[in-house]
Amino acid sequence: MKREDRVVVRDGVMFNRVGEEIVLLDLDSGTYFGLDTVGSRVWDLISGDATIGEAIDAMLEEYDVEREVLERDVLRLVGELEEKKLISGA
Amino acid sequence: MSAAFFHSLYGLTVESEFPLPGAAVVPPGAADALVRHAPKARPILSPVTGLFNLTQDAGAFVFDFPDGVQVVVTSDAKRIELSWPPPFTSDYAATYLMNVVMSFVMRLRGHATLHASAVLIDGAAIVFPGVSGAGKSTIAAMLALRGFPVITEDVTAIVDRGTTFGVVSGHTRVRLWPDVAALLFGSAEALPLIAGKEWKRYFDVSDHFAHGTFDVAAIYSIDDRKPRAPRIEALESADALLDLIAASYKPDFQMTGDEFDLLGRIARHVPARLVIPNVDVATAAVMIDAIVEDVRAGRMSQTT
Repeated sequence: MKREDRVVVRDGVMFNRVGEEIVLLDLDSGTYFGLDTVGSRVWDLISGDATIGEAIDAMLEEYDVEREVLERDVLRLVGELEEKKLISGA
Repeated sequence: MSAAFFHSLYGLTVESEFPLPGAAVVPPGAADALVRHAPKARPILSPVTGLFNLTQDAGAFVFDFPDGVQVVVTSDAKRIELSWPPPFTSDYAATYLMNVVMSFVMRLRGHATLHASAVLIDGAAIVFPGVSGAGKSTIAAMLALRGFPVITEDVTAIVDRGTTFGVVSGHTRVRLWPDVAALLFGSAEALPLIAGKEWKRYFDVSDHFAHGTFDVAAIYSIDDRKPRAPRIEALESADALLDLIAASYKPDFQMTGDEFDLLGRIARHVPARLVIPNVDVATAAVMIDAIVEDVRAGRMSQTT
């Protein structure tokens, strides 16, 4: 997926917030996935209305991190979530 | 009329046509579930692969096991029918009922179930979730040998009270691999076989068994075996949730959204620790020392 894309959480995928972290579970496949604090913030943004690029921009305001590093990490996480069929492109 | 045997099993009063080995005997009373012998098995709908097949047939759930034993559970989980081919006996068929089928029955009745043992340590119910082979039964057996009552082994059914949680007593037969039986009792042959020769053996903990429902005081999740162990570590809530999901009955039993929610609440509200066993099973006694010490330290810190 690319910066301008929005994501859709697939049917049957639920999330559970525990402290500042989130655990995702696909009820159909049994696949589950834990997100750390930063990953959980990405999830909050992309599972809402934000495009991937808008999520990156928002996080640049919140975290002391190079754009290039953040962009790479966010796109890698999105790719992993897509590979596990937890999200798809809108 | 055939004989009736009344047992307490995972908090249910079960009326059975035959004795259920390992289940506590209770006085006759209103039964929550009936166990019956079905003289004839239903046709097998698909070839049995793995440990069992679970199919649905005319409003009931059908477990077919590779040796021909079949268990049928009605959708309201109030009637369970067992059939078995010769030369098997009711004792043999009941071994399937006690763990895997009862876990399913409890889920049908609205309880989340975990692959976990549970033991009372100084009156506190400690739950030990873990994947197959992690050491749940070893821990339960070794704690029983030190006088701590076992609540359940292998299957832990959870009573959901919102932000506190209960665990109900299971049965008294702790199933052990031969190497563990040999470690604890000198030789594997010191313990009886559960059923056939290829099965595990069992340690009867009737003398150290806790009947009833107990508040869960802590989760001690059993990790992979490591060289620099045994040791006990803190376990973050999110990691505890991942471990609880891994220890839930799957993939044959698909998790529901309500169960996922319940596991999340357990992770948020129940203190969790990580038990890391050593690769060498001979160090198990040191691990048990560490667990008891850690539980006692945790209890002390809660009361001071």
